[in-house]
Amino acid sequence: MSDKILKIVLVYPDLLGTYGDSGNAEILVARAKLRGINAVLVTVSSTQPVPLDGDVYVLGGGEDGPQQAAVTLLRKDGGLERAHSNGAQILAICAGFQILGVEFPISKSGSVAGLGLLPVRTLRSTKPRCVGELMVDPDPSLGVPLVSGYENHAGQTEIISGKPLGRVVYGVGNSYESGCDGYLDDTVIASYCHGPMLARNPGIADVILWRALGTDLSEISDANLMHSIDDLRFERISSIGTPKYWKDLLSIARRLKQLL
Amino acid sequence: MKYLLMRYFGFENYSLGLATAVLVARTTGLVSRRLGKGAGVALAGKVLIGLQPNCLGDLAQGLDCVLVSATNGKTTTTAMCAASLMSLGPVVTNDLGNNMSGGIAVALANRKNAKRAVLEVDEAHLETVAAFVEPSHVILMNLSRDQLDRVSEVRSLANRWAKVVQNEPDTTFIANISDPLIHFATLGAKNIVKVSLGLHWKFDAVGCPVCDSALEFDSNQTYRCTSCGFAKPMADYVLHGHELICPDKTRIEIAVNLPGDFNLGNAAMALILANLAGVDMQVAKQRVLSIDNVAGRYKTFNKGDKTISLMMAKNPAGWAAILDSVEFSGKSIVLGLNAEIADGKDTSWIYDVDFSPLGSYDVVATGQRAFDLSVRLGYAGVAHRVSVDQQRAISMVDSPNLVYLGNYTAFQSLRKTLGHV
Repeated sequence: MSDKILKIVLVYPDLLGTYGDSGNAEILVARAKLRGINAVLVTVSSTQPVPLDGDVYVLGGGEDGPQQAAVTLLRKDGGLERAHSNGAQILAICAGFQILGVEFPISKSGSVAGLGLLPVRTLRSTKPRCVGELMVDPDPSLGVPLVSGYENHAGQTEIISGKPLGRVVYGVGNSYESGCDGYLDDTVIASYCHGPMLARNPGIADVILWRALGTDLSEISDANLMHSIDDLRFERISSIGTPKYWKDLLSIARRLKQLL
Repeated sequence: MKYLLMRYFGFENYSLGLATAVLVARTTGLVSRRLGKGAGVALAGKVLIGLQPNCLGDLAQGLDCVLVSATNGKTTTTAMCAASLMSLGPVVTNDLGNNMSGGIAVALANRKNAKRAVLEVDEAHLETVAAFVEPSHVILMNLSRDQLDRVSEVRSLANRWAKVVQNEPDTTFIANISDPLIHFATLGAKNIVKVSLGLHWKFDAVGCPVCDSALEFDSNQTYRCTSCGFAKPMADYVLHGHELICPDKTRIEIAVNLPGDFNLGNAAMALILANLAGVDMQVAKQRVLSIDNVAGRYKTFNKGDKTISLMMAKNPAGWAAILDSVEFSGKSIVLGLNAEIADGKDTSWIYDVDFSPLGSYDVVATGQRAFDLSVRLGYAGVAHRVSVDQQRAISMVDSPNLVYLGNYTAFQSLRKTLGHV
């Protein structure tokens, strides 16, 4: 192992932490340490400067007011934007995703400019809020299985250019029309999946670690943890699946097939 | 004849329409209970409100009402308040967990000859209930995240509470100003008793409720906004460990028969109400001390060869408070997590609870979402076992003494399987 200390920066958990999002940063650190990689969690509250030397920056969900406060502070601070242009990895969930785009809506009216790091735009919607399980078939380049999460957002995000994290299999994702969720490029993974996202999707966590370290990752030897994650994924993914009447039809079809 | 009938049911002050509605609602509740659908209060409440939408006002006629609302501790505080006010005469209270408008109406319809009411009110129903019952006192304790997927954001709740405060100028608000959101909601109060209970959970209050800038907390349990003038005011009553310091500097020693520091805060609120209502302090203290469980919560009992202490908390603030302040040494711990509609379908809040102090104990994760807990505990480095079946989880533990902590429906379903302890 190299002597490098992997620095995971949790950005403004006091403003962007509604959905247990600090868990994502904690999980990145834990998965690095379980492989013997020296990793440290740096928690940056909204009164502190964002360090420039982080390897991974983690942003989470937040309510309208704090989300607006966060974008104002991040723009003034400039640290996240500089780290991004230096090639640092970013994981951005929900409000954190919206902040990175060119604009997002606030309160009942009006919208504010985002940091503009991603070519995406979030608009207000008159449609019902998107709340519930979200399942995404991720971009094949990631080489990871189905992404499972829980979404809870009103804003509708449109990708101006570039590609999403994946195609929505269940739930809404970026918008009712788009059929896709999140955003993906070489340094950013963004999504509406919380839960927190990396708890249910260790593959995504490892992609981020692999990109940040630039080396292949060893297997994790904690078998209990691996089994728990497998059980959780199985339980969550099978909890949605097909609607009840389809399940009934399928089981009848199977019975018939056995009989014939 | 009509008079005699009305008198028989205790309805002499009701209109014919209201009397009919109450009878229909009670019958529905009874049938629902007989069919084994729980206590039937929620359904009876829906029927009552459906038939007589404005019944809360009529039912509360002539009652001196105290309302208690908070994210955490409202059931316990309500029980403590009711117990101490009962020394002045009969009190009607909603102790079946029925804290929305309908359930409160059902409770009030059973008031018999009570002249006082102590009512636990759901955070989102405070506006409606307060407008109808015109309370003499409202106790507001804390606001934090709960049921992420359905209840509106905590800040919008704080704004709605501020409206309640504005609409009820004659009400005395007993407010825990240690919580910035409660201080914000009661800024416009004409009659206010400011209480400093200390703040254990501040993750939901870090942004200034007035201007969204960052709030600074210091070690003295005070806070101030970094840009506008919003700051913690001087308190009339201060809770300091087991002592409540009154405005005249006298000190009241608080003792409770319930675990956890947060229950000292709940008791403090009840004793302040008792003080304002003219209850003898010694009597009030005795009555608060006599409570050793609240609808099964905190109850300790024997089952087979095991001694089980039951705890219930619905959200990260509640779980953190219990994990911080309950004594676990020598005991096994069973953690139960469900995600029914009443719990909220979103379990991501478990990542806001620090489980690492449990690392040295025997821990079992259980409930419908046992695997969510298992992954959480795994990453926190807490060795544990898993059983989705709660009863099995209880029988799996090593120690004859165990503490069970579950969220709402997990706790309720365990109580049911253990025979409604």
